[in-house]
Amino acid sequence: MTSTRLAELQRAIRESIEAGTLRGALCWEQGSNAFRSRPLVIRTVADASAAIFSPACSPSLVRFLIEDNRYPMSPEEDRRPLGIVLRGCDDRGVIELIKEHQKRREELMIFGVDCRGTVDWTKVRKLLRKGMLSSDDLDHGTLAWKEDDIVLFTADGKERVLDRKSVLLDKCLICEGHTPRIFDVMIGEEDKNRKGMPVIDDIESLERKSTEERWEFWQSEFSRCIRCYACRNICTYCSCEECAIDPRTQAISDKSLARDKANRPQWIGQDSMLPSNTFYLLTRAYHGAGRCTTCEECDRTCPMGLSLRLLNRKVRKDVKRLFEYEAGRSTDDGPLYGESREEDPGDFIW
Amino acid sequence: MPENPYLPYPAIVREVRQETVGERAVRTFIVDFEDEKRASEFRYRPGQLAMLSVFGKGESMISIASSPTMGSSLQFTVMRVGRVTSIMHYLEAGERIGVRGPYGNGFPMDDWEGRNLLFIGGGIGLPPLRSAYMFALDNPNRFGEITIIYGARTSADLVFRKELEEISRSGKAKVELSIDRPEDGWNGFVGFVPANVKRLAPKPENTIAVTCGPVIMIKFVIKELMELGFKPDAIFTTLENKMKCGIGKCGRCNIGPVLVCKKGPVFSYEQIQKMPKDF
Amino acid sequence: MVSKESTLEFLPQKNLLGFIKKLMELGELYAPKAEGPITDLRIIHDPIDVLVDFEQTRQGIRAIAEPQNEILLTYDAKEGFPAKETLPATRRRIVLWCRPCDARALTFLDDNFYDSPYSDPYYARRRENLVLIGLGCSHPFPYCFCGSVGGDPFSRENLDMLMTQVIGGYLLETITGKGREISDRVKELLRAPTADQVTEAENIQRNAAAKLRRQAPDVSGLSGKMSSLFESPIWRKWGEKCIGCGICTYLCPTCWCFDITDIETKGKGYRIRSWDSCQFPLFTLHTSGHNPRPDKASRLRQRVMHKFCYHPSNYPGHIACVGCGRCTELCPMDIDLLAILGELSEAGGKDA
Repeated sequence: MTSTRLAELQRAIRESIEAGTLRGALCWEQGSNAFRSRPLVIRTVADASAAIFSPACSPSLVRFLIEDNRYPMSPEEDRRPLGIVLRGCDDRGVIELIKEHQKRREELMIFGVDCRGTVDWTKVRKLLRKGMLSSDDLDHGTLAWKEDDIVLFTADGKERVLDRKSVLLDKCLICEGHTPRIFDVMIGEEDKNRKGMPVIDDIESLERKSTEERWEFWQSEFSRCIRCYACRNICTYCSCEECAIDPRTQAISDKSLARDKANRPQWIGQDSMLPSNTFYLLTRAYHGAGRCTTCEECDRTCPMGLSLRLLNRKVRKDVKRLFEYEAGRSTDDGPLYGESREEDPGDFIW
Repeated sequence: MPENPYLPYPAIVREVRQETVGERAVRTFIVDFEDEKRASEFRYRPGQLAMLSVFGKGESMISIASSPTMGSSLQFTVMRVGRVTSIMHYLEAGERIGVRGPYGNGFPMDDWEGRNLLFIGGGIGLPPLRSAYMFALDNPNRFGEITIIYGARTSADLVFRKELEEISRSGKAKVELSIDRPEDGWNGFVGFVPANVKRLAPKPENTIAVTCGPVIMIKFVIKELMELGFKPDAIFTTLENKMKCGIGKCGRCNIGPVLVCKKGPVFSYEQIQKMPKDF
Repeated sequence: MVSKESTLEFLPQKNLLGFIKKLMELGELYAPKAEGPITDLRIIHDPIDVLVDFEQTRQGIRAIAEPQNEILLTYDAKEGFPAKETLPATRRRIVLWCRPCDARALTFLDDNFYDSPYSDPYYARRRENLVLIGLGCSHPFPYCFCGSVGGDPFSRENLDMLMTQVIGGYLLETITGKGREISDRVKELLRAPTADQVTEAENIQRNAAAKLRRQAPDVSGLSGKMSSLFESPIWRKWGEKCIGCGICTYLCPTCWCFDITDIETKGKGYRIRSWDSCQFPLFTLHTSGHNPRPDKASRLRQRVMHKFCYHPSNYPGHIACVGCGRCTELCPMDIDLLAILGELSEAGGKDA
């Protein structure tokens, strides 16, 4: 984002805060180095001046709509809308949350921004290792977009254009649209060429494998899982407080009866051995069918490098093929699992 | 070779007593270690706890409700609240249960020599206190006057009621029972336990107060005691946190820097005042 | 067992493969290995799997000393007792090229698992049979800050041997008796180092700490102002950014919290210990429904204060952080431990 656009974004948020129309606004602030950012909850005018929008803004803010439901960011009586800054790919996740009644459209004030790609820290690390980026770049540089170019302004005043493939998240290289389809305020211009929906045509290497090869591949991936649950916790559709495959969750209150607690089935173990991991990861992938919008945050955050984007894109492709259904397309769509149509495939039933 | 602290020892249930009925039923289990050597080695102090183990369900940290002066059998008074305690309530005499322990610091009975002891309990908070007052009753020359103020929601929820009435009749201790709401046939005090404490106005001179019960009750009892002139170092309570290993390893029961399974669960109010509100 | 003085030897590059093969004969060998796109310490079955030039391993030595899944005892699913304890085999486990920070971290795990009156026999068995051959960090990683929390890129703490990469191979310093047991058995692969090699290594070691990009503020005073820090608004501010996953705790080399559960399958019952995290909502949930740490702010507070206040107050001088930087680097929301520590060291007043 250029400095004028950033100023525009900050002003738009500031004006809403000043006017008292919002109970808060979700944006990003500068993180631990030039290539990283973290979520910022803006409640005051002073907070708004810390807001940034740059190629460093990789974390998705959409998750915080679920966090707001569980750990409210403002007192319950405050019914004003919550502001949120959305990039082109974020609108899908918000559409799904609206479909599942996790948030109502009127509860949100959406600031749409034009995003040309955000960085993948893993790739940046590789560049650091090869000496193509320096500590100085991390600590004293600034990232910005110039049209589609990712520009690093270095401490000594130089401008370096970074190769998109070498720094951006894979999903940004096949971006479906720079601006969101839903918004209340658009900073800059809408992307008229946006498609909005991902095209999954890059998973042939998986699809060419035989069933046995695929099983071996996934078993090898799943064996690395340490069940940190980052994938679940960052997911924009995983809103269940009590999850059958997440043994950390159990809705107990002072009203819970002993027999409820006693009879609650334990579907999955606490351990991280391969059978439990397989159960967890595959079940979550299938629970995501028709809900996962391939924001790929799970892939970005997995500390053990599991190929989660491959897994979720495969499920998404299958859902499209079998049901002509795409998560995040429109709030007019019903839920995939909640509807049954005559033309749905049924050859496995009869 | 030192023993493995994670291994439960088998104990046989000798007797099961139904203390209260209903959704939150309470049962007392009197158990004996199967292995006599183990039984003779198991030495505990009033206020200590043990991990009761049911294979397939898990473990639960339960206060030892008996006093070591009462023989080698151990008594555990357990309320049915969750997975492990529910399965425990199915146990019958002759069946086995796993026991490991004793854990925790226990009550500092030695420090309380020569003092009057005032026990204030609410609901299922009485069993940990029982180990202490039974110890005191069995050592009458070591302690001063013993008073037990105890209340529950209804008369049916009073645990050890018959035993307490016995003690009252014997004159060995002063027993004051109460229930929260009026009931036909109840002639004792009606009201919450802190209100009863206020009404009875026990004197703080040379007296140690020990209280256990629902957190909210403890809070108000301590308030009343302070107003009556009790000093924080003369007020004791037990703080229970969720525990898994019971031996100070799993890291979950801490209140600030203090591990409840090792340095607690018995704390003086003076100690609590210094701890962060991490409970 | 620490020998009277360390001895220095040189391992030529061409003997490296032979060295690894020999280590594999002497015990179960763990070394940095490629695991898909990441690097981690794993059991080596093929010597060429050992990475020579490697990224920071995802996990430290915790996964070896206190495995994520450990069977404590077994029992018959129908009968229950008798329970059979399943202690780990007393087999030598050699960790090749752990980093000094990860080795230092064991000091705090030792504090916990050996603390009286109970010594954890599972941990003890693994720990006592662990041989640590460290590789000093000539080039610290971008998020490292070991130098400002009592460590150093070439710290010898808990290491049995320390290797320094020099031109043509490695300088090998044998520190303890356990290390000597190993170096004695690879004598034919080692040479006496030249004066130049020794000087080169010394220079590398001396200059490494200056390369650390990040620095913690002075944290020695934090345990003295526990009460005021406990109530600080800092926790809410940062807790709001947290998503409540377990990455920080599961990748931290000084973390150790665990859960104990029973799993039954095919007629056999297993009581297992598995990792747990104070960041998970149910970690401290009572069965009554009361949760002493009901929100992310209080759980974040627990994580930070445990390492910088609670543990050091129980073990003076032991600040339970080795400066590996993983919690910050891998946090999905970039929650920066050093930023939090900076704010904490400025906030609050000393406890009365």
